[in-house]
Amino acid sequence: MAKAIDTDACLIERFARGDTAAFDRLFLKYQDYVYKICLGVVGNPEDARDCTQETFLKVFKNAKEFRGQSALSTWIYRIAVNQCLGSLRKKPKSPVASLDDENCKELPDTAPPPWVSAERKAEEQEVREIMEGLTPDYKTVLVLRYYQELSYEEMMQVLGWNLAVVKVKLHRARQAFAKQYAARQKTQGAT
Amino acid sequence: MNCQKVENLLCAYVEGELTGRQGEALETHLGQCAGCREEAETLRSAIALLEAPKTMVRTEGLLEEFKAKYLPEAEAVPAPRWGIRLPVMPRFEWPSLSQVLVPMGGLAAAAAAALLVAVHSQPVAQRTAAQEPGPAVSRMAAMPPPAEAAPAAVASLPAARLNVSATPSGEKATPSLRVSAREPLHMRYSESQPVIASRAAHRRHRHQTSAIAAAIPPRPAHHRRHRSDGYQVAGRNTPASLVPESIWKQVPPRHDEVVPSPETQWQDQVVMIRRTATAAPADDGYGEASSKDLVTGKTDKSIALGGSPSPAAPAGEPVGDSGGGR
Repeated sequence: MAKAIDTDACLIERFARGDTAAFDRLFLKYQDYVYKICLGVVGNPEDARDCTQETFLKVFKNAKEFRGQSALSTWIYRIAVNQCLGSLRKKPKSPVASLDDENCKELPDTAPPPWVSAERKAEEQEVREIMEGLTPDYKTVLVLRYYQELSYEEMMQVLGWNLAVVKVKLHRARQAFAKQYAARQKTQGAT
Repeated sequence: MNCQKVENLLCAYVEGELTGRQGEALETHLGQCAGCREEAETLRSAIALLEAPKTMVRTEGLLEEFKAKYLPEAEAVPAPRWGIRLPVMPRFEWPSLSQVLVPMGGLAAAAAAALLVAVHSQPVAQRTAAQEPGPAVSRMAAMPPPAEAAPAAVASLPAARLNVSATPSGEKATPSLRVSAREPLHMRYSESQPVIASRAAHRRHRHQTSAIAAAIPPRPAHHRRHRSDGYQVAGRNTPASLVPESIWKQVPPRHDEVVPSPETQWQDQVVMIRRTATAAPADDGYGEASSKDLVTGKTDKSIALGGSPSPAAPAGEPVGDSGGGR
């Protein structure tokens, strides 16, 4: 029963009827996913928090526009992606935040062992720095594919592209990422 | 398989999406080409880096922050089914000039006619003042009062637009009064009602706003001049003598045609019979022109300039035969 009540359709319908508690549940359900997308695309925790909140503000305002033609998650991801791309267009580039940032610390219950965590931190910092050199389109497709683990069909719905465009963009994004990664490896090897 | 092709297929190969003969050919090439092999390894490690599980990020307190920061603003905007729904006010449309003139249609027409006729006839009156016994002013005074001059039929048509002109022709020209009713050019763009416009208005607006013109539905079939069922609907340019009496009446629409609603029907009806014919100028130049109200069939000489009303003029007499014109 509780499961049926918490489905996306029920939550959005309850919210459309004026139940603000349903919106709170939606927020808590999707905040991590949305924040991950925002952090991957924007690259800065503060900006990612702002983008996340702006995304949910749009969800709040436009809930009645949601017609259920796609999954609610797809709709929210699409808003988040558009919000992040708009934020990147508006704001000047901010430096990539360190994972030691207060907002980027692991949650205590899900935190891996310290030695793994340090290694993972270094890797994620490297990924983030490489991603910073990519175009917003490439960042977006990589984030949706590897952070959110969306399928091609879901990416098509979120990005509004057809399958060929999604595949080409993803292919080029991987190549660009690998190119930057190789260049980075070379400079590290030289030093 | 060359290195260029391998470079294009490498991503798909590393992702495991490349199978079959292409995959085998690529693996063969990788076994022979050290550069491509190194590139494949780099790509594999880069994608492994991307695919590595991500550290959970802290999003605690985001909801509270959101509520404190945005909720007052968000609630100010009308949320779905929250707050008060204001009723949708009906759209106000300015009345067209013809609609404004309707209540005083006859009076306005006559007043305008009198003004124009006075302006046009004054030089002629001055020229002929020496030859004729009465001054021009007396002829003007002989005109009937405006209320009588106005054709009642014109006033009865709600959307009639009056064209009043006085045309002196030649030395002995008769400034004649022609009162014609034109099709209303009033256009309405409303979502609730179909857009119906006259052809002239349609043509004019089509050049101005193609988007609006595109939304205008085609003219209903029973309003077209040439119908497949044998009826012929007269238009503005149809000579009055060619219009039989049956056409004056509302031609019934065919069974498969859309009948406009009563409230919009008046806007698109063909208004073509309301022209008053003008008789040819008489020999003396004045007083012989007469007009015929084509709706009532009544000949009204009283609106002709300078002529005294002819009590003997029979009603329903054909145009041109009653006024002494040849």
